[in-house]
Formats: sequence, C-alpha cells, structure tokens
Amino acid sequence: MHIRHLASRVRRAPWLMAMVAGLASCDFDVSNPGPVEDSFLDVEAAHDAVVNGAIRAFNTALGTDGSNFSMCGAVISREWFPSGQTGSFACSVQEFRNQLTPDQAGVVNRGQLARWLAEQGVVRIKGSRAERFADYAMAAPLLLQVGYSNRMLGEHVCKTVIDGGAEMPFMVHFERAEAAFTEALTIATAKNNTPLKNAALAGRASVRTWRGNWAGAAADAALVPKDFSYSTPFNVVAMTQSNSLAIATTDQVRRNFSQWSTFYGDNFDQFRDPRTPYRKFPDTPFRVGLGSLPDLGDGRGAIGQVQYWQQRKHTREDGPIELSSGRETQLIIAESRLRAGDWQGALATVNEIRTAVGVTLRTATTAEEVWTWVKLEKLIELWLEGRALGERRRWLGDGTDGVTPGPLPANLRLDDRSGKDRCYPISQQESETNPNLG
Amino acid sequence: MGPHSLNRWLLPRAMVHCIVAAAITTSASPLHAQNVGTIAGRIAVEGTDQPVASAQVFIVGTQMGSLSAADGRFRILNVPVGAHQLRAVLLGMKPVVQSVTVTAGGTATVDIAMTRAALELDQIVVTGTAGAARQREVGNAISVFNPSLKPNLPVNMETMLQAQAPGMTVLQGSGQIGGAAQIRLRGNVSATMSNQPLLYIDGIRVRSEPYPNPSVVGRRSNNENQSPLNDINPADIERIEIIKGAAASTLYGTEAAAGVIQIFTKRGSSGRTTWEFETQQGTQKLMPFSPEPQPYFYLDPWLKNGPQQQYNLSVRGGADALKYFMSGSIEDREGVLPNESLGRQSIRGNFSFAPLNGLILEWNNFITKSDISNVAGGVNPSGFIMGVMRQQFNHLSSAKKEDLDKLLDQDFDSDIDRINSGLTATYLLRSNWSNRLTIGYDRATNVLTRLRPYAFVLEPRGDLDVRNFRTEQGTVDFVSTLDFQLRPTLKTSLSAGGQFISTEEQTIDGYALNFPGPNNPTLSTGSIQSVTEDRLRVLTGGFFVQNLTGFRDRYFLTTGLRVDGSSVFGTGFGLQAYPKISGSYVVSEEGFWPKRLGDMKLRAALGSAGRAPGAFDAIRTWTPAGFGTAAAYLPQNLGNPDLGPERTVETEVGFDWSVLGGRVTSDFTYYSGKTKDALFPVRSVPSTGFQSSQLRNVGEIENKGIELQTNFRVIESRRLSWNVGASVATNRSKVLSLGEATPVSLGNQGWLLEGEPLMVLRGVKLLNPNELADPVTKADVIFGPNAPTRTFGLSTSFELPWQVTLSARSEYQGGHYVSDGSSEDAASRAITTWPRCLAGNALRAAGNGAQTTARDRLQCDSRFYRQGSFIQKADFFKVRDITARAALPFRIPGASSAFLTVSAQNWIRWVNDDFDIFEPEMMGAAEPGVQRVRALGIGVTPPPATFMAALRLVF
Repeated sequence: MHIRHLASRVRRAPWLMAMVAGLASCDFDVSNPGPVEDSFLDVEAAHDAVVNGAIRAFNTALGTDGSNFSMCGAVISREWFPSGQTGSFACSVQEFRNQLTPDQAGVVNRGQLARWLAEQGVVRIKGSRAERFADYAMAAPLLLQVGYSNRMLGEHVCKTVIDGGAEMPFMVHFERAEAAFTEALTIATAKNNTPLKNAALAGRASVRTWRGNWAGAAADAALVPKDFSYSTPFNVVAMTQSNSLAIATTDQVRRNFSQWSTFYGDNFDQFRDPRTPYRKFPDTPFRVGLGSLPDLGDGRGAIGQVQYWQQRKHTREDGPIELSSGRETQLIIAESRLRAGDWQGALATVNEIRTAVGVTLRTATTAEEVWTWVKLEKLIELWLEGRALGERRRWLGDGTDGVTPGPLPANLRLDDRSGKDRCYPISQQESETNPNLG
Repeated sequence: MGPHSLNRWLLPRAMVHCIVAAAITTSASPLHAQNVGTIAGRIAVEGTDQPVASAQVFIVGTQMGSLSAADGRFRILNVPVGAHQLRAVLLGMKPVVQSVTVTAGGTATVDIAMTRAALELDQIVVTGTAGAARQREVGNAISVFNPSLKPNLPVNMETMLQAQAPGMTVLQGSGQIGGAAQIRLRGNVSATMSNQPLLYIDGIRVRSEPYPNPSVVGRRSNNENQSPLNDINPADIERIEIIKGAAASTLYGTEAAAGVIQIFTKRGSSGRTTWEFETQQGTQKLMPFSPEPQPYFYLDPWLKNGPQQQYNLSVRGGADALKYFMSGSIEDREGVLPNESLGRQSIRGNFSFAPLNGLILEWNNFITKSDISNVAGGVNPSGFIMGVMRQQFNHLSSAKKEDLDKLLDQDFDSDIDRINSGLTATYLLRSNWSNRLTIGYDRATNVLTRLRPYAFVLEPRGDLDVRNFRTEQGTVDFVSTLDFQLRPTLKTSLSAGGQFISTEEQTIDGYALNFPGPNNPTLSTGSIQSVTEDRLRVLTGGFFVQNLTGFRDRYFLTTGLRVDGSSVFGTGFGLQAYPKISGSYVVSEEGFWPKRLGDMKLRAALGSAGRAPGAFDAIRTWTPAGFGTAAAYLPQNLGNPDLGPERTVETEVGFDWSVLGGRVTSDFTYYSGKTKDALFPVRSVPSTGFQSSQLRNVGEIENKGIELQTNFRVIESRRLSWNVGASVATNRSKVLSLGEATPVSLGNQGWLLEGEPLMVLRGVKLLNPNELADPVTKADVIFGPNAPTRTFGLSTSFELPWQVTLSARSEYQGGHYVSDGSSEDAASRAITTWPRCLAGNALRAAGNGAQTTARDRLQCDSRFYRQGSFIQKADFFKVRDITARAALPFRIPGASSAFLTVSAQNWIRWVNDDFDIFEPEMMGAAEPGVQRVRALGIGVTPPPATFMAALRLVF
C-alpha cells in the first residue's frame, strides 16, 4: 500500500471525525454539591444565611479560632499576659512584643472580611428587595454588623482601605459605622424593636466619641438603659465558632494567657471586683502551656514560666462577647462630663456604676484623678472584649493617655514599652495586591 | 470479638476459600494420553550456574507453556508428540528459541541458557504508547524493571520503588507506621497541583494521591496519610514501567505532566501449576536522630523493635483457554512506638480467557483490607510524641513517664477497604488490526477514627472524630491499531482511541464530645455532635491518534495528538490539545557502525501534557459554613471562567547503549521542559472580600536535567558474577515568570519567586555560626530548592556458587533544603530541654553564656529567636538495602525450590553536618500531595530501619 493511499484513507476516515465530534459534544458539566454559586445568594431565601455569614465573620475577627482582636489585642493592651503558647491558636511572638508589622496584620484581613460581608450583604439584599429592604427582619441586625465591624476596624487599624481602594485614614471606619448605626436605628425604631434600637444608639454613641462629637455621643448614651447589654453570640458547634478567650484559658490544655502581672489581677485582689474575676491554680503554680515565655523585648529578658492565673470572665466556649452596654454608655457620659469640666459629675457616674457592682467607691479631689478613675472603670468594663486597645489609642490620640492626665497604674502603662505599636498597619497582603496602594 | 477482629478473621477465611477453589481447579488437570509427552528442563544464565526464575517457557504456535521456578526448573505436561520449537522469554533477558522432540509418554529434557539482554530493543512496553510497542520504536526514555530479578525484600510498594530509576525520588514520610512517601518524577513540575505521578495498574487508572488526613484545626490528629500504592502486595508485581515528563506522557493528557507509573501484576501461564509460599519475618528499629545525651529524643522508655511478618501464597497455571494467577497475603506489622500497628490482608485473582480465536479477555481483581493504628503524634496538644519531646513544657507540664503514659490512652485508627477490578478485551479483527478495550473500577474507603476516651487526661469529657472517606475511579479506555506493511522495509501503525476517567470522592466527618461516662463510644454517645460532608466528581475524557512509522526496523517516527475535555475547566475554556512527536534510531544496526562500539539506540521526543485544576477552582463559590444551628455563607473561591490546565511542553533526547558484548549498558537522557500556563495562586485583595488566592494560568516554569544509568557486569563466569550499577540524575527548576501573581508563600518557608527554583526556601541566614558572639543574621536570604536537585544511585550484586546472591543498593539525594519546623516551633516557645540546646543552656545557667556560639544562641536562646532561621541543607546518603539470598542446602519435600533471603534496609545513613537533629526524610503528618514544601514536622519521628528474613518455597 502506498503512503498516499494510506493518507487518503486517513483523511476520509469517518471514525476519526466522529471521534472529534463526539468528544466536542461530550457533556463535561458536573454539578458538584457543597459550595454554592454566587448567583444563588441573590435569592431572598438565602438572605438570612448572608447575614449570618457576616456575623460569623465578625466573630472570627473579634474572638474565634486563632489570632483575633480580642485575644491578641488583650496582650498588647496588657489585659492579660502571655504564658507561653505561640503560633496557632494564640498570638505571635511579634504581637507579644507589640511589634504590629504588616506581616502580623492577618487579623486585619479578617476584620476587612467582616466589614465587606456586612456592607456587601446590604448592597446585595437591597438589590434584591429594593424598597422592601426595611421590611426584612434581618435588615437592622445586618446594618448593626456594618456598624460594629467598622468600629472594630477603626479601633484597631492605623490606616485603612475600602474595597481595594486607596489608603485612607482609619477614621473612615467610624464615619461608615455611624451611618450604618443611624440607618439601623431608623429601621429598628420604625419596627419598634427596642433591643436593636438600643444597640444602634449605644454603637453610635461609641463611634461618636472617636469623631469628637461628645454632645451627640452623650445624647445617644443617655437614651440607653443602664442595664442594657448587646452581645455577639458564640457556639460550640465547631471550634471555629467558639469563644477563643474561653478556649485559650481552659483548665486543661491551653492556658495560653495569665492574669499574672496585670492590673486586672490586682483589681480583683484589691476589690474582689466581679468584673475582673480570676483564680490561681495552686496545683500548678506555673503555666503549663507549650514552652516557656520568650523574650518580650520589655527589658526583662526571657521570662520563663509564668504563673497561671486563669481569667473567669469568659468561662464558656459558647459564651458571648459584649459589644455595647448601658455601663459603657454611662462611662461615655462620664467622659463627656469630664471633658466639659464637670469632674464631680463624672466621678458620681463612676461611683454609681461601682455601687451597682458592689465595689469600693472612688474618691477624688482633682479632675486628673477622675480621669484615672474613668479610664480604669472603662477598661474594667471593657475587659477582654476587644476594646481596650482602641480606647487607649483614643486617649493617646487626644493626649489623655500616658502619665497625665489621669496616670494609669504601672502595670497598665503602655509607655513602659514606648515606641511600640498600638494599631495594626495595612496588611502585607493588602499592600502587595492592591494596585491602588503605592 | 470486636468488629475489627471479626473482619480480620473473615477475610483470611475468604482468602483460603478462594485458594482452595483454585486448588480444586488446578488439580483437575487432563490425564496423560498415549500421544503426549512431557518437556522438562532448567534455565540458567549463559556461562553460569545461576538459575533464571519466572521465565515464560512456551511452545511456539500454541498456548502451552510454563514458568520457571526459583531454581530455574520448568515442566510442560501433555505436549503432543513430535518436534516443537520451545521459546523462553523474560524481561531483562534475550529471548531464546530451542528445538525439542517429544515422544509418547516420554520426558524430553531441555537445558536452556539465557543471556542478559543488553538493550532489550525488542522488549514490549505499553506505557505512554498507543498500543504495545517495542522498545526500539519508542522515542522517549522508559524505565522498566522486574522486581522478581531483584532479591531484596521490600516492606511495601514505595520501598520497592526507591532508587530504581534515575529521576525518580521516593522520600519516606515519618517513623509512624503506614505513612505515605512522596514520589516525584523529575522533581516538581507544578506549584499548586499535585506532583504525585499518575498510577495505573494493569491498564486502569487508580488513586495515586495519599488518602486524606482528618487534620482539622482544633481537632488535630495523627492518622497518617496512608498510601494507596501500598495497598498492593509487592509479591504480586510482574513488572513496572515508569515514564517521566510530558514528552513521554502526552497520551495520558490533562493529568499526566508529573509522569506515569504503571504496574503490571503477575498473570497465569498454561502448563504445570505452580504454588509459591513465602514468609517474611523481621523487625524495625529507630536509629538515633538526636544529639547526645538524648539520641532518641527522650523517647527511649517507650521505644521497641517493631516485629514484622508477612505471609504470601500464590498459585498460577491454566490451560490454553484459561490461565490464572491467584494470591493471598497477610501482613502484621508493629511500629517502634506503642499503639503502632498495621494489619493487612489482600487477595488477588488475575484471569485470562481466550473464548474466541483472536479474542483475549483479561480480568484482574484485588481486594485489600488494612487496619492501621498510630500513636498520637503530629501537631496535637494531646500528642504523645510532641508531649515527650517537649518534656515539662508540654500540656501536662510534666516529663514524668507515668504522666506521659496517659497520652497513650487514645486511639488513632484507619480502616481501609480497597477493591479494584479491571477487564481488558483484546481482539484481533484482522491479522493487522488489533483493538483493546479496558474497563476498570477502583474503590477505596478509609474510615479514620480518633478517640480521646472519657476521663482522658487532657479532655476529661472525651471526644471522638470519625471521618469516612470514599473514593472511586472509573476508567474506560479504548485503542485500535492498524498495522500496514507498506513496503518490505516500511511499516506503519495507526492507532486511535479514547479514554474516559470518572473520579468521585465523598468525605463525611463526624465529631462528638462530652461522653456521659466510661464506655466504648460512638458519635451518638457524645452530648454535642456535629457532622460535615463534602462530595465532588470530576470527569475527564479525551481521544488520541498516533501514527508510528518504521523504516528498515531501525528508523522510527511517532506523531500523536491527544485532545481532552474536563469538568474542571472553566466555562470559557474549550478542549485541550496535546501534540507529540518522537523518533528513535537504532544506529548500531547500520553497516557503518563498528561492532566494537556495541548496540546503540538514539532517541528524541517532544510532547506536552497537562495538570488540571481542582473541581471548584474555576467557579465563584460560597461555603455554606453554618453559624451555630443556622445557615451561613462565607466566601470560598473567587472563580476564574478562563481557568484551564497547566501545559508542560518537554523535549528529551538521549541514547541507550551497550558495549563489551552487553557487559556494559548505559542509557542517558537530557530533558528540558517549560510550563507556560502554570497555575499560580494569584492573591486576592483582602479588602474586597474573597481573600483566598485564585488559581490563574499565569506562570511560567522551566525544568531541565539529565538522567544517566549505567550497569557493568564486571565478572561473569560459571561460578561468580559481579554486577555494578550507577545512576545520576539532576533536576533544575526555575520560575521564569510569576505573571500577575506576586511572590507567594507556600508554607514551611517555601516561596514562589521569579528567577528562583520552584518552591525555593527563603529565610533568615546566620552569618557567623561558629563565633562566640551574638548571632548576626540576614533576612530574606534565598537558600535553595526544596526538592533534590541531584541524586546518585549505586548498586552492586554478586552471584556466587550454590545459588547465593549478595546485593546492595544505595542512593544519595542532595542540593535541596528543608526547614526544621519542629525545632523552630520549640525555639519560639523557649523550650529549654531541646536536645541540641542542653549544652548551651548549661553554660548559660552557669553564667557562661559568652562561651556559646552564635548558632546556639540563635537556636536556643529566645532573645535571639528569628522566624525562618531553621533552614538547612537536606543532603543525605542511605544504603537502601543489603540483601543476601541463598538456596537452602537441603531439600524440602514437595518443593521444587527453596530460598532464604535476609535483607537490611536503611541501616546505614549519612546526613549533612548541619543535621544534628532529626533527619532529612522525616516529614510532617500532612498529605504529601498537599504539603508541597517538605519540612521536618512536629511530633513525628524519622523513618526506621528494617531487617527482614524470608523463606520462599515453590511447589
């Protein structure tokens, strides 16, 4: 057989053409279960899950599973003391040393995810429901998520970006938070939902303090009942949804953080203040996590093993973390009075709270002393809620932190480690991937 | 009797039934007739007394035949009276044809002398070719080896593959029993996809990725990643073909860029029924891996020698129309630490039918069941190994044995059930038109449990993790080949065919905690329960055409094309075409070629193959993550509708050469490949929501190297043979372009950086290691690749009188780096009892810290701790095995041969001076396929050494 005969045969080979056509018409479409395609989220039936996703992401940034603002922020603000565990399910050595470098700012990405999910959730649901958005039962809770996630970021970042945009001051988060709290307030008021209305008022009061609107903050705070509390819920379905503050300080395994060498431990020893409870472990006088504590860069060298003093505020892995409370708003009013020169009124507010709690009242003869009491009272109220770092940065920003006015106890002075960071920079991943950042 | 022990009992019984049935079948052999006789004889290596085992001896023109036993003897019964041509063939030996005349009722004795094949140009291979092809026709390198020619006693398939082919690295995992090894052919070819080669058994695609490990943050465990390859009994293997690189694997298409390993199991043969029984007994031992005075890293009180035993029984035989090979195996192994054990039973049945003239059906099946238990290791707060290594800095805050013993009170079990079945029909429509259809099914389930019982020291309430993993792969493969003899010297073969692979996986992960009391719990026992499920299905199909033209039986040109579609391609992505062209030239058959230069084949190949992305990589998806008991969506994957496979185009050239009458053989290959659409993780902008990286076809990778293998039969005489083999392989990879991707961390200090090797290690370098000073360091230093860049193999064997064989096999791997994640983790936690730090810490405690070196301070003094400063050279040399085999000096009744083999594996080791702790082959308990950058993991021990003895009887 000649080659050309073969070639001719091949050219005419119908089976070859049929094979090509057959493969081209093959249906390789596979619909795998599990992950959900994006368009499905536009369906109204999916909207509750969109809102829940925003809440879960917020919790992840605030207080679950690994580095988060409340757990690691508490190290930086000296709310508790690291007792050895580093890396996974704890905070990095760099965070122990208050070295908040871009590569340590993964927690900021978590915060950005929480913000983005809440804000995009509003956009998506408004797009689907249009004018019926306000009728949606989860509209106000979702807007509260927008507010609280922006507040969380604003309290912790030095500078920021929004949705891949250019660098912006961190204050933009408080601006966005106030707008969201205001819209939530409108919807909650229209629906006569008092708890959500109070949460919006308390949240807005807190961000107005950052924006310098003390009159507005005090006005909102005054409308919040003194016994009000608004928290974000955790659960034990999975560790990724549980309260990491509780997990990190369990009786047995973790013991990652100790109240040893903290103001809060001293406060409990001095006043038996139920807001800062802890207990010592007589059987295991030293912390028993993984390894001993490396050098924190605070001049003490390697600390070695740390006594394990277990916090008792977050004792349940499904326990909530408070986002706003009547006592916090009362202390906003106190600080507002102090700034207005009414230190006696501020002291009275502080003592009103301490009376309710059942601890010894404060006394003062000068505004400077009251500044100390107001700050300490607020730090006690916000203990292990992911707020202290932000509050202290706010005071630093307006010159009220540090030695004067209102000097803080030595074991609360961040200035002992002067030069260290008090806010997280834009994350390394954001810097390297966002084309709008120089 | 618990359910596990019941299964252990039932399976051997089933196996026994199967083998008894075989015995009944085989005993029903035809009675002697008056017009038939017997052919008997012995096969030996020419010029020596060495027997040739497992050679096929058959009468030309019939399907009558037999296999030679271990002593080289064979017997063919019921041979028609008259003159016959007897042909003996065996991989690695030159075929021999000899005349024999059979008389009625008589026995014709034939002694056959076989010579070792030098180039084996007429050996048939099928991997990477459209149909069967002779080696002389193949333009790419293909490694073929026959395990039965090697006396060593591999513990499993992975150890069998070690140091067997240049360019193939098989790196062991950990000392924990059953852990999978990492197999690479020509290094890493992908930054994001698996680099594990495709695996075929008797023509059907089977799972090659290790079984997954249920490592869940917070519920971490140490169920080792078991290897599907090790489900196969090494004793069942006839031969293995390995093709490396895209130029060779083009016809396997979209998944094949990392190469292909094809395993052929033993088949039946007509003629005398042969039974083989083998028992292996041995022990495993952990070698020192830590500085004095703690050479075993505080594990001494628990270490033991791990007993090993295995029993193999097989039968093969048949008649013209039906041939069979059946085998059963029972393994029972213990590890070097408590709670470490492996029990495995397997049965195999391979059957060949010839129901019609020209039609052969081959039906191959195997079933295995493995029960594996591991000690609590890995990154695990409750881990035993980690707890011991960290001494009083563990979660118990105790280094006391009685406290650490409590960490052994937990279970890590893997129960693997595997079934594999394949049917191949080969039909000769005309004398020049063959068709082959293969249908295969491979299914495995792996139930992994991790139990911390009620009252467990670190979880008093107890908890239980159960992961039920199921994987199924279906193969349909068809090829049709037309041969044309166009002219007396010109021949062409046109092949066309298609292949369809369906892969399904399902994982159901249940978790329960808080048991009511001390009982044997299930998931239902816990007061808190949760469950997750994942399922995926991937379809890949393609067709191919290939034309092979041969001229004068020494010039060959092959052209081919494979076209693929896949469900994992993006919607904007169409079919993928993979072309190839290759040629070979048996230059030594030219008239001008001087005979003294021996035989030589030149070859060259250019081809492409792909590596497909994952099932969900192309789609924008959200995870139904749940929030408490409510539904919640979280972003999962950004999606990329233009996503396709990465395509590697590779060129290889080389030669196969033998001189000195075949006493020296050598094959050499140079290869150079480029992946232009490499799948790189392009990181997302975090503030835009989807924060995980998205795969995009943006990268460009280069991979090149050489492979050289030489074998020299130094002495070959009747009483003594001495053989020396050596191999060299290099592999240099480089990321030519990151495309739109930014430098990406791959974990374990591994990075994707432009201009650097794939998965290069970057970290902190100590500039003054030996000075008595504080460490001076430099950050972001490029150390080198994570995969070995050069490997050397050396082997030798002696064949002595009385059928004694001595052999040794060793290899060196080097040029690469690993990060000691375990020591780094300890340093970050200021664990002062780490063995390498004891001396320095003693000096510091005595106030003599100034006498410590900069290296000691960096690694042991937390004031100087720097993340990423534990990267070190990973060069190592190991004698993989030293083996002696001898025929028993006395006769065992009924046995035609009896051999005793002893083998020591991995007992001799050299590591780089930097490696004062652990060893380079040790790896973390993570999936080899997932853990692209190898690192020394936390809470594991190095692979142990093994000593085995085996007795093999043939009846």
